[in-house]
Amino acid sequence: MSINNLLNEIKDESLNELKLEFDSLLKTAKTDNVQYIQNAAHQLEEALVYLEEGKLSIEDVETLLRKQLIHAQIEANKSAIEVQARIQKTALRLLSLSLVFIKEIGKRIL
Amino acid sequence: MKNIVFICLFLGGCCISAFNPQSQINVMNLKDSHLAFISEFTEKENNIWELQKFETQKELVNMDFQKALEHSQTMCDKLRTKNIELLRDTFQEDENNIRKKDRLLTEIESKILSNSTSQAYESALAAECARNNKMEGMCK
Repeated sequence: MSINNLLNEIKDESLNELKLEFDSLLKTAKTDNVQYIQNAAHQLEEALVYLEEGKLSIEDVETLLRKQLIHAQIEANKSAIEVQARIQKTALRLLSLSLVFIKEIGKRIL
Repeated sequence: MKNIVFICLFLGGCCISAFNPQSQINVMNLKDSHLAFISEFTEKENNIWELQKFETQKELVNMDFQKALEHSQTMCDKLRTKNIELLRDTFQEDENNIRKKDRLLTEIESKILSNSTSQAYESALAAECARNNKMEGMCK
């Protein structure tokens, strides 16, 4: 069983380009460096194979996709937290210390 | 310290709060409750679909989310609260999915829900551990 069987069931020719894009994106995502993207692609592929085999319903795959969209927001928040934590730990501390030193240097010069 | 607070305010509101062991424990407990809920309503020997049991278990998990949200709201950290709200959204997706079926999940349906659930919680736990002053024993 393969996802191509599912895609072949879509007969609307206006969607041909989207089908090609989907196929290419799925292949790229499965080898992406970001673990979340890789996992999401593998889960989606697995779910689509089960859908093709009749072991999952359309509603099940829709639920999975909505959960993956929510998960994407958690991943985005995680990245924001990582960046802000680094800013707090390094940049803000550096700037604070700089202010202290500049004040001290200013006192000596004046 | 005064300077850090000033720069935080200058950057636009509350900064990311430091690692909080209780928050980490809350997310781990939510993960356990959520996965146990899926397992509870999966086909296995001597397990039958009971709507009343489903509603009761759903309320219990929702109460856990409520407690975790209330705790997160004491820490002036919007992203921490937002992540718990998002995890609650994934739970609502799962409980809606099961409720609509009006029957126990098959093994495959259960596996698909459980795997996506586990991974969302792993990201939320990693987000907790991305904070400063994390406790090594509580983070991978």
